[in-house]
Amino acid sequence: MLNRAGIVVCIGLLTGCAQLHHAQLGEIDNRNGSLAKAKKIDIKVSETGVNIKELADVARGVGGSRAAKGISQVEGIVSAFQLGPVTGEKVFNDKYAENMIAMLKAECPSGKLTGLMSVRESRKYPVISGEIVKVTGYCVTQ
Amino acid sequence: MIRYFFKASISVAALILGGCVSLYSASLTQIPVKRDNKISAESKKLIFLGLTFDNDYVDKVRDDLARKCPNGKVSGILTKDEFIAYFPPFVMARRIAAEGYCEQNSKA
Amino acid sequence: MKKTPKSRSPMLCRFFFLAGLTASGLGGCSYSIHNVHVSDFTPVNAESPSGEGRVVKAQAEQFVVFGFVGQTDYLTEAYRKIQSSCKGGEIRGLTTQHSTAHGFYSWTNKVLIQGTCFGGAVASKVRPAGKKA
Repeated sequence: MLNRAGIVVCIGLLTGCAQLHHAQLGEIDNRNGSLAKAKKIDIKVSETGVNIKELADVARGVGGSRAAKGISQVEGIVSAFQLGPVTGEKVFNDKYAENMIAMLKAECPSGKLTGLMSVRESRKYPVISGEIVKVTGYCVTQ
Repeated sequence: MIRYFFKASISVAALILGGCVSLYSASLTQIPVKRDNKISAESKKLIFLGLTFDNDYVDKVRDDLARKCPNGKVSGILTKDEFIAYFPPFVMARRIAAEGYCEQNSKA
Repeated sequence: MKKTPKSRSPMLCRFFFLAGLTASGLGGCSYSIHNVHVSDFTPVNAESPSGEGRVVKAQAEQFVVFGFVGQTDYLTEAYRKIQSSCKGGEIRGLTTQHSTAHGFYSWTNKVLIQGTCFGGAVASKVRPAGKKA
């Protein structure tokens, strides 16, 4: 009940509820005032996640009582084929975060990065969600 | 029928006693050139009925690794955070394991 | 009193809709990325390493049925693989991605480790002299 109320509030706000799953911080080297000469970098990759249960609830609401049984059967079959541990919602592409190194090198060609924070978060909307991997830090240019 | 049931019960009990393990998170730091001196440390906390009142067991891993590498630098650290289900939801455990390489007398 | 025959087109539409939904659900495998960790790169107060280095990758998987598994050795396997891909070199800027590919009452846990290798030897297969391909 609380989850449904939360979803209604998020619809009203149209911003989505943010959920943090993991956060890790690396070493910060500010010797010789490195951070004063540093450029802040922010890399974010995301993929759309789908909540099958909420999708089925919406389909049942739209389809009516006659379609409810068929939709429940389809939901059961689809769920059986998507079993396993989940962080956030399920996505249909697991390669969206594989280019992080290339993106970091493009942002910081010198490779002198410090204060790297890796964040795994979700932004929840009705039925869908944004599964986000974010890396922020400082690139020392001099 | 009774023999089949007995064998099935033994198999399930073995699985339960061994515990089903899942990985919660993993991280790896920079791997050094010299990889001669390998060290590792582990810490485990049993959780009954899902109740736990502190996470101090995590600090033991870092302290053990630092003690095993006096006056040196520990790098190439692989950290595993595991969840072990012995008899959920009554008996479970969290285990943190870290292994890395100790560089003695390395330059700062 | 004549009974009007039920129109078959709404039922047929519903059937195709459900069949299409099932097919897309079965065909589209779902995944979940649990964690992506990025380690440190070149020390900011040191000279840049010579050369750009080369990107090295290592991946390991573990197939699990009904959650019955007693170890997470696939992570250690990926750790050994990334080290053997850069023997005698230093690996910096490591990204560790932990994800799961879902399936029918089973799933595959995956770990992908990528990094930049500086100064390491490339693993290569050397054919003994005198032997033909």
